[in-house]
Amino acid sequence: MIIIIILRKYHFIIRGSYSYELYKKDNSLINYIEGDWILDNESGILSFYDTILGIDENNPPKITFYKYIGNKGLYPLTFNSNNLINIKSNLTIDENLNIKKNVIIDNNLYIKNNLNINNDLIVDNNVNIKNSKINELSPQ
Amino acid sequence: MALISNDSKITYLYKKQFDTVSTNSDFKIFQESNYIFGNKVNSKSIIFNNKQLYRDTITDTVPNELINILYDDDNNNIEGSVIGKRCNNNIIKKFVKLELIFLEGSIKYDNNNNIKEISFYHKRELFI
Repeated sequence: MIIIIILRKYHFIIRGSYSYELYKKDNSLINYIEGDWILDNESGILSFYDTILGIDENNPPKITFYKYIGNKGLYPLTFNSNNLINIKSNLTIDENLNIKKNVIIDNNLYIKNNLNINNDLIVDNNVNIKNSKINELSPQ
Repeated sequence: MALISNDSKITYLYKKQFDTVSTNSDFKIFQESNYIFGNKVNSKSIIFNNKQLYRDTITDTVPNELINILYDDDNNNIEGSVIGKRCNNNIIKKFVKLELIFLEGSIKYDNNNNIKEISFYHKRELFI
């Protein structure tokens, strides 16, 4: 699996950098060119490619690092920063679609089952009803 | 102080290309193991959409509350703690001076019997 050290070895910010730091057992800092080290962010293996005093099999180094612990993955999918999602083909939803604001449809709307309206129905043009059952009609 | 040799760089990149870790530059690619301390480790980036897509925004700089911390989330000394310290919005965690573990077989000596190469790992907190 992936190691979550956030930023790279050579990322210098005086204060507030996510750079990781290596230390010898006596807590002295190992600088970036000492011991020719590479930390593989994917595997998590730290390798020294040159002799370094104070580091051996009995004196392992120590590491200070930052790790991402926030939300991961696509589920549930939430877009907080995107203003618009464009879908240029069909969208099929097997279950409910809950929309908390308006729905604007530029073309026809076909409803193959019931349409329940909890509030007013405002029609700017004709209404053609092939079969009707009206419980209450209040003229305006 | 020598820079990493070109041979070592090539070996490292070659193994990485085939998703193999590099613990000893003398090891052939088939001699390296991607199972370390019970973990299956990858050397090459693989995106798992259910775990490796980070949905929260990481600030450009370290949250202030993590910069000079002394204690972990359990109020124990942060140095060497595998608990670590969370930032206020639970997106970043800091670990301080975690001791790594020597990888058997990774050591390589020069003609003067000085350690020329050596690798280390951590079995828990560096991994998801």
